[in-house]
Amino acid sequence: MSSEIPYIVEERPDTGLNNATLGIWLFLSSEVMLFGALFSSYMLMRVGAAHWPSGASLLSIPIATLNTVILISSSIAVVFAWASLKEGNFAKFRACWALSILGGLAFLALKAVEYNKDFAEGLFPSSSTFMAIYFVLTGLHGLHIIGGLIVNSYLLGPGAKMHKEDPARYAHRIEIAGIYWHFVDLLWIILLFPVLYLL
Amino acid sequence: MNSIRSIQIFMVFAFTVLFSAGAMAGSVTGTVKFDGQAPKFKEIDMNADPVCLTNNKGPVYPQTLVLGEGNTMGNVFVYVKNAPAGDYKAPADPLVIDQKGCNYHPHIIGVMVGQPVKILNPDGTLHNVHALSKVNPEFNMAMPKFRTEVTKTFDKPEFMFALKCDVHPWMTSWVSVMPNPFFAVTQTDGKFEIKDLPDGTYTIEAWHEKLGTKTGTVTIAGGAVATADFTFAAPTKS
Amino acid sequence: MEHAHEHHDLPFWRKYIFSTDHKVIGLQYGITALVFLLLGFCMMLLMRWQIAYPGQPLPLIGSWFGENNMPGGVMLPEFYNQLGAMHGTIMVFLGIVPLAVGAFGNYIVPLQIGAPDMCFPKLNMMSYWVYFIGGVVMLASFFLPGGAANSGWTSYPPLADIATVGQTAWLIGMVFLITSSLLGAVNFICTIFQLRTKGMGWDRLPFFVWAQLVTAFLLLLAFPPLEAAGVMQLMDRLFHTSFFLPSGLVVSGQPLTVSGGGSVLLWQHLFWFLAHPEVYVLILPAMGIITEIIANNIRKPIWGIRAMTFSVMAIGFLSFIVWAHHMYLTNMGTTISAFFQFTTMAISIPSVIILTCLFISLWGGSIRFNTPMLFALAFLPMFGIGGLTGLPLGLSSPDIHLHDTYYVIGHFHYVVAPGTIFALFAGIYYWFPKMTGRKMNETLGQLHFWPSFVCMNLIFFPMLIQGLAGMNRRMYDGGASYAHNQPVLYLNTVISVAAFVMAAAQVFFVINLIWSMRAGRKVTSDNPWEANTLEWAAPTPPGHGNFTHPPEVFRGPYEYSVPGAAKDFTPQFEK
Repeated sequence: MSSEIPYIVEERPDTGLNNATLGIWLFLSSEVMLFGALFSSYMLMRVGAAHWPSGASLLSIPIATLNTVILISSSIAVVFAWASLKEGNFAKFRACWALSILGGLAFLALKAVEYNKDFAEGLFPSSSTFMAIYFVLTGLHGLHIIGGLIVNSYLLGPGAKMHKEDPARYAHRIEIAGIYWHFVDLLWIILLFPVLYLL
Repeated sequence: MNSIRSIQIFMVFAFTVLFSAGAMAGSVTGTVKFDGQAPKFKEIDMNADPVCLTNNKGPVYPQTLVLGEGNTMGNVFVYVKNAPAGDYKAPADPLVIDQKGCNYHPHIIGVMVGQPVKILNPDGTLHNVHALSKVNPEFNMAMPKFRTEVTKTFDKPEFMFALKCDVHPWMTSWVSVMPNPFFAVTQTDGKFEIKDLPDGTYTIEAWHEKLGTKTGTVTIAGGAVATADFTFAAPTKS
Repeated sequence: MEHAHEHHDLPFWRKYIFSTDHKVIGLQYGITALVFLLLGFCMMLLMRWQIAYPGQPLPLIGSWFGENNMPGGVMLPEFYNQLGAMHGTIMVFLGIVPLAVGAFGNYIVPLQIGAPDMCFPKLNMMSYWVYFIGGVVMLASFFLPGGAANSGWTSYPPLADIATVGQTAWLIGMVFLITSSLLGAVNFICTIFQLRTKGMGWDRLPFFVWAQLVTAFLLLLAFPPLEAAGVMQLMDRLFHTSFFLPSGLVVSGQPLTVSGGGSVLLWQHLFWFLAHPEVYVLILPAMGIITEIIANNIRKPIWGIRAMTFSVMAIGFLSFIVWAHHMYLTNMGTTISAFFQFTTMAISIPSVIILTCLFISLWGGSIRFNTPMLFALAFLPMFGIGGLTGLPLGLSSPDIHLHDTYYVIGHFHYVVAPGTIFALFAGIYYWFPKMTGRKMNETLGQLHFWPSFVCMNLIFFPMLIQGLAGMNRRMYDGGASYAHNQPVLYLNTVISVAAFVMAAAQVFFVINLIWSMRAGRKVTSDNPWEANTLEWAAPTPPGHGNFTHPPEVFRGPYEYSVPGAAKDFTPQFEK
């Protein structure tokens, strides 16, 4: 059925795009609006608050910094994976892709540690508007990481069959998944980490 | 001959036992008084709802402190704090709360778990009944003028929560859902009576919505009537 | 072709239930949306009974709603509030948008651009089922303790934060609906960019497709803030955060034990950031449908089609910067208020351009007054009234008097009811032959149209009067307890009776729809309306893959009565 639909892999001449690339960028633009709305809410709450705690006083900067490094490495692994696939080195691609998934899992594990630490210290979403927006921003980001991990694991596992049947399409899927993963990383690196922890 | 005799002896014995058993249910009575100068209450302003004004003949004052002759206190909730556990059946008759004249009558309410509470709205205006209970599910029901009667039941014991009207802010009453029948609310004469208590030593508590609680201890033996009087003092100016 | 074979071998549940074919999905959206529109309509009828006859038992069916909602057949205020909130929610999110975008968009857009399907068929299927689940959650909420959501379709905190559990269900339902819309929007934009057939340049795109493209961008970019707000309100309700609860809030004489520090205005900003573009989502597809039908039935080109196209893009852009005109009464500063008044007045310009071009197009036309055209023609003045009554609302000074009154209800219903819904009816009558191979009955169509048209005005015009008198919205007793409403209370009965008559007129539509599917007059050609756009080149109904051979486009879509041509229409797809 879907083989009727053109421009899945090859680009349409007048737009210069293929479908999924356009699709993922459109999706990411809506994600920008989503996290943008939350960030705007953060700004409104902070500006209106009589007292706003600094991230450092309530949260662990060391853990978050480690998480930042992990995510950056995970994105680098994705780039290496994609390059290996383009070069035809499937084994190297699998290794790097698996590494990026491990990075994502490590990030989640550290986040769980952080959350538990907060709960043990009596810091819950209900404790203050700072903690509330912290948990919502990082929680939603975490859900996006989980979503990405599910897709990436599928592509590593059962989805890898497509590499034999339609290698160009498989490579394209990897590229799209990579774009999404980079976005989720950038979200953390540029927005969440600085705003919540450092500012 | 022998059998008739046996029956007679048995009947005398039975009556004695029954009488003693009946006699073993004692009661606690007492009077609650107020000591000190009663504060002057401001008349409740019902101008916001002209129907409330028409339904009241004279000025209406808060029911927080209701005194009788000799400074006896009404609206005090008296109950047995350590009553014996048992399977006490709620009366089938509903306890009636009337919102006539935009005030709750009675102001202090004791009901048993499972006893129906019938809330009346004869006023011809909108009331809403908002139960600020924490153990029983909180409810907030509108009673527009065409809804003249609503019955509710509380399924769990819960001590003293407010029942108020969100339309008329002065309307508040206090409800206590009790697991047993050992409670009473004083009227203006300050008198209360708690009946059918088995022998034992009990802590009796008198509760007032603003002046706090007072406790006393009574012992009931051989089905006697024990007395517990309470006096609430006016709050001292700090 | 092998995939066609594949399709014939598909089991029933994959062909009709979990289909990835845009036409099947479009019909699924259409049927589900029509059912929801009917439910929302019935909720309104119940409310209108209570408004016109407050406290009176509803005859015959009053006992159906249970002792919790209508004891003795008399509606309780709590139930009225649920009906009010859910009527709005269901009509907007479960009825109109799924019908206008999900049904018409899905079915017609790929056909009109000559595509075999949407870009992402599986995603399309998912969009429908996520919508379906959202709808089930919304309907099921009526059976929760405390009933459905009852804080208005706008769910303003702090009331919505502390409302009964139905509000939580509303929020969860909205998350599903928003997700469905987002996925659909991606699909539409991608399809229109990527799958236009040979020769279908941007300048040859039917206005309907342009309208759907702009609508898709609105859905894509405006919905996420409401999703964020929904998550935050869920956090407030379930995890006791204070996103929208200010400090020192006292409820029923008792201070709330929350951290405080939140802002009720934050919800309003986030909500209206979506909800304003949302109203353009409601109207743009309707304008698209109307344009196609008017073009076809005047047998001449649309006047000013380029201006209309640029206008619809301008509306799309401007719709993002007008939202605070819903918030003039929140103690807004004069500078920011001036900004929003300016943008709000500005957005009326492209809207008027579109309406004017359509009106001017009629001049000199050879007009055919079939049922779709009747609905399309009626749309024009009705949308005109709707738009004009928006002006005093868009300016903050008159809005002080009119905000939250029945004037607002009259205004937006004029736009959505005899506006959008008439356009949707027109579309159903118009495209029914393509979908089924039969025409709907003209007599029943007229019996549907005329009473509906008259009744719409009898319902909504008096509301404008009531609003000017100061009658507030959302009052379960129809405003009877306020002195300033007394002179206009009699209009409540007029409105309600008109609503009941309009309900009766819809019976003709339902009968027509169902009867015509089996026994309507069969069409003898693939192009019974003698139209120019590409969907009429496909077989009737279109099979899997849509076109027997890939179509090619040679000209624009409005080449009617071309001088020197043999026929009075020159289709896009003819050489």
